[in-house]
Amino acid sequence: MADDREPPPLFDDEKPDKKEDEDDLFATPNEAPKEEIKDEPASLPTEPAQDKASEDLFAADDDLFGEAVKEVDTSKLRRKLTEDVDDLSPPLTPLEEPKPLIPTPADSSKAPPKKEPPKEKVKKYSQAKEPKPLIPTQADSSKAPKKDASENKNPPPKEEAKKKEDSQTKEAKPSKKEPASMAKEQPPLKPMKVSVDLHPPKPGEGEEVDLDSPETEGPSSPAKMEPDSDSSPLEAPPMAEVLPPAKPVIEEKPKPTPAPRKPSMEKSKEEIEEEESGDQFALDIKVHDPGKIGDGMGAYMSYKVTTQTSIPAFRRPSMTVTRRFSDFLGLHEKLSQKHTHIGRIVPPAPEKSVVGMTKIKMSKEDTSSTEFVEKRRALLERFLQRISLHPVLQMDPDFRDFLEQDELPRATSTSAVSGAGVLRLIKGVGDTFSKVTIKMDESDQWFEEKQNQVEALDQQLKKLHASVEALVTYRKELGISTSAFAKSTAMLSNSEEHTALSRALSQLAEVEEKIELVHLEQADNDFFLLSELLKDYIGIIQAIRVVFHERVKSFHNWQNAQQNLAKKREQEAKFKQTGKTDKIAQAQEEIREWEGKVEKGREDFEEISKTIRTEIRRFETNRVKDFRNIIIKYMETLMNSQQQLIKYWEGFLPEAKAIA
Amino acid sequence: MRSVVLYRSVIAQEGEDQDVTSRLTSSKMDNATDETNTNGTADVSDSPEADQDTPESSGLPEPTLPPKPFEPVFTVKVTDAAKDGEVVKYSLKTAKIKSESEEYKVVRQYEDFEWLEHCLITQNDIGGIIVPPLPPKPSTTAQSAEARSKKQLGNDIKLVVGDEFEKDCRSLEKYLQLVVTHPILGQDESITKFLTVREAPTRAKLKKSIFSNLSKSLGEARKGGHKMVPKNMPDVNEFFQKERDTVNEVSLQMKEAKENYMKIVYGEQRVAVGLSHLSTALHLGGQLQEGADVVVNKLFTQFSEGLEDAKQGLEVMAVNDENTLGFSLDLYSRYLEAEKEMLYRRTCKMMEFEAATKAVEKAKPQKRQMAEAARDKAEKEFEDISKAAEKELKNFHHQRVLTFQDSLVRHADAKIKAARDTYALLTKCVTALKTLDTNFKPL
Repeated sequence: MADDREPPPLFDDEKPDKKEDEDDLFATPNEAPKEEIKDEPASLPTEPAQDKASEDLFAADDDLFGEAVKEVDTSKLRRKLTEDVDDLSPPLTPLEEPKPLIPTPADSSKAPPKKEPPKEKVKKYSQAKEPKPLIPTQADSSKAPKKDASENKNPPPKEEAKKKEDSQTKEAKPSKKEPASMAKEQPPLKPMKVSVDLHPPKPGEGEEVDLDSPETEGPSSPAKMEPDSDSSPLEAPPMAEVLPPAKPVIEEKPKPTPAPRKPSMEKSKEEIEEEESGDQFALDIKVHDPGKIGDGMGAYMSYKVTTQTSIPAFRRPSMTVTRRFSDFLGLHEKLSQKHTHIGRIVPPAPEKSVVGMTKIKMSKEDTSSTEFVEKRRALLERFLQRISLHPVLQMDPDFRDFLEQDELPRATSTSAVSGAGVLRLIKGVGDTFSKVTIKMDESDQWFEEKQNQVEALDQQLKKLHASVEALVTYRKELGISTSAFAKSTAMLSNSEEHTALSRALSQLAEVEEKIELVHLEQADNDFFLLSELLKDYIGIIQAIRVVFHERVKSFHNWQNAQQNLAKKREQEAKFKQTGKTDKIAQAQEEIREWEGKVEKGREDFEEISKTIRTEIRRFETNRVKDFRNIIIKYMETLMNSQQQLIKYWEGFLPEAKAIA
Repeated sequence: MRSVVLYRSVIAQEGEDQDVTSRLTSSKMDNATDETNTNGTADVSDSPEADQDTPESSGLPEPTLPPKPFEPVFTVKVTDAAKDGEVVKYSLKTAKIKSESEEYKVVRQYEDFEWLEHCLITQNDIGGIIVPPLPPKPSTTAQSAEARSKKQLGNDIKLVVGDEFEKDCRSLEKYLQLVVTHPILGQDESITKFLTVREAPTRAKLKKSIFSNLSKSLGEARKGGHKMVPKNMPDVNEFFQKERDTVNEVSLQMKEAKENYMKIVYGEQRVAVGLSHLSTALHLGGQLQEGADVVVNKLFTQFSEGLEDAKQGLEVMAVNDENTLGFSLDLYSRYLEAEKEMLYRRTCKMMEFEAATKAVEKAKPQKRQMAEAARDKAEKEFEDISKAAEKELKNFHHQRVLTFQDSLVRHADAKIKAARDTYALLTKCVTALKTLDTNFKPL
């Protein structure tokens, strides 16, 4: 492990190349848009670019820091590990396994020349503009690296390529030329990536951490980041036009391709119709500065909601409004009224907590209430971000009003709204259960499976959530114990007469105090990353159930209409038999009416089924993405904790040795 | 990977001390020998190297005894413990330092240790001696194990902590070593018998008569047979006055520190259990092998392995914590009590002497001579005990500092090592997570 850490500098240069290998695969089918976009690069809006720049700075800082820290560890770690190899084998594995990693990047660094051949092909295909070439391309490109790797170590083509691209683009960063060019080559990916990178800011940070670690994943991030900056908003529109033709191509393509970007591809395929108007715009929402307004039972918390966006429908690219909790509930209410019944999964409203809120109302700034407020703030932020990620919901006028209106028309007696919202939700859930158990004749196997799957998922997530909650508690207890021991140690140190021992003990007390913070921080990470993620998803599953229920309702409407139609027909037949001709006309009128209703019912049902399918796919894509990002981020916090432990104890060790 | 991890944890548990020792020797030769040996707890290995080390270890207190360096006769190891019905039997291995070939192997049980302690206290003039504290009797019943588990892991975790024979072995070994290396107790006949005679001492016969009264008689012997010494009785000697003041304070603090430290250890164990539960829950995951579930399950499996690594790391830390600093804190929270007892005995002598002096003043002329004789006797006793006690205390504190240094160093070392190992494993896991194919075919 020590070794795989060493090469970052080297590696950095190689990242883009490697990235390219992957990207070429993607780029190929999307050739068509490429040309159109090449004409447009100048029209980039400045704002995202600035953002980008600052992000880069930030990333760079991270890099420095990360490397510095690791540098220290690495040397020692390696020594450590090699020592260990001598006396006990366990650490061997960590030592050895990463090794193969180094060859991998090395291979990929040889690969870049391969860029040339695929490129030519790309052009051919773009002329041909037909989906077939896909498979060959892939085969070729997969062969390509091997060939090139064996044939050459020929940098020249690569450099030429760089120059070419350089002249095309006015990229400032020399080391990242390739990624920049990539951005041009594979535009259809961009809108999706925007959504990946811009919306959940946290995953974004997570990605930057990648840069530090030379793992294979690392390479993808710079490339991912780069394209966003130059590509996003203005290039997107042309793409939207181009995309439909490209669509069949994409449909097949992504499956065999490598991992990380997959989800976004998936999305593009599935929801292209909806997303073309949506996701390529950045919509970044932050909820911050919670503040208590008023006193006593009338008090409430207000939050500032700041939005940065490039969506033209918004009046300004950046705005800040003040909202209170019930406004969020009101927003959820409005959205679910509009969207739930047609099968859209509206992110669940944050729970109202009477206990927590009462505490706030009564108390003056104690720690438990600040914790509660922070929890809620994060919750509200995630709520808005989830909406903003949804291609349709993000364009909803109510959502937009929520983000940009200075004064929101007070939701009809907000407390009632929130209460009613919760009630309705509960009722809806109950209904879902009863209806599901009654069970409509499920003609669609997909839905049956999905419903089972969602139920199983719900169970699983609830179990996990309980486990994580327990973990958080234990971790906090550990923090408390550590702090208690720090105090005892400090006292021991005070009464210790041996000077050096006394000093060491007081150092120990300090170390333990720091470690207490490490534990508490980790407990926060357990909570805010894992626990809240799981809780959110449990909420979303609730919303999915509601949506499934809406579909069942729609089905029943349709079936009812059909039954009624059948009745009317019978009636008509009776009338005909009995010769009541005067009533036949009316009956036929009714039949026509019901035929219309049946047709409408069928259409509605099909419509909602279709929407739900899309929504579920979206949900799954997001689920994979969210869980992957959060898990990685969480593991990194664990690593960070260990690193801090190492740091603190290494600082203490000399003190202990100096005792006698 | 799993097997490796397990192996590591086994190493850490079985050969923790040995492991630390070898590491120290390899990396910091200069003071490694001293450090490892002061504590001398458990160099379990039978390698010739280790055998050479041990004599030095017992010889370490030497410099602190300028008058006549004491050469301990034996080195002792408690190599094993086995449960025979309700009785736990400990295997002892003893070697004579002068002639390494002479080796004794005996089997003893806890009651034998109690008997040994009794003999040591009653057959020696322990006035100025800080008698090494015998560790409390390890509980062996199922109920006590359950109670202990609850204390350690909390009521909501249904796991029973297994017997801790190893820990008991270590404590008893430490006890024997303290006795063997003690300048006076180390020469006692009963310890020699205890270590070398195959048959356990008279335990069987005396069991009943002794054990009913043993604790009481022990208590009295320890306190020197006196009662009611005012706590703030001023001392004639500044050194002892200070010592008495601090020891009362420190022994309380030491106990508290030990309690809190064990809470950390239990806390670590609890978090480890929490991680393990979570990891299991992740593993049980969805049985549905389609669509996004496949990918998420893959992620979860990898994640759960990472958590498992983190858990192993914590468990290793908990064990190490308990074996290093925890061990010393525990030992000295008891040892300081012994020091207190010794000081108490001395204070009693001081009072006797003072009383005798007063008696001389008050004595009528005809009884004066007798009173003076009594006073001289008391003075001599008091001076003897003070002299012995001063020597003993210096030695005691010197050893204490060394022990704490050693355990702090090993503690920090073990922490660093465990954290690094965990970090390495986590890094691997993150790498695996990042490279994991999150590609899936939606249904």
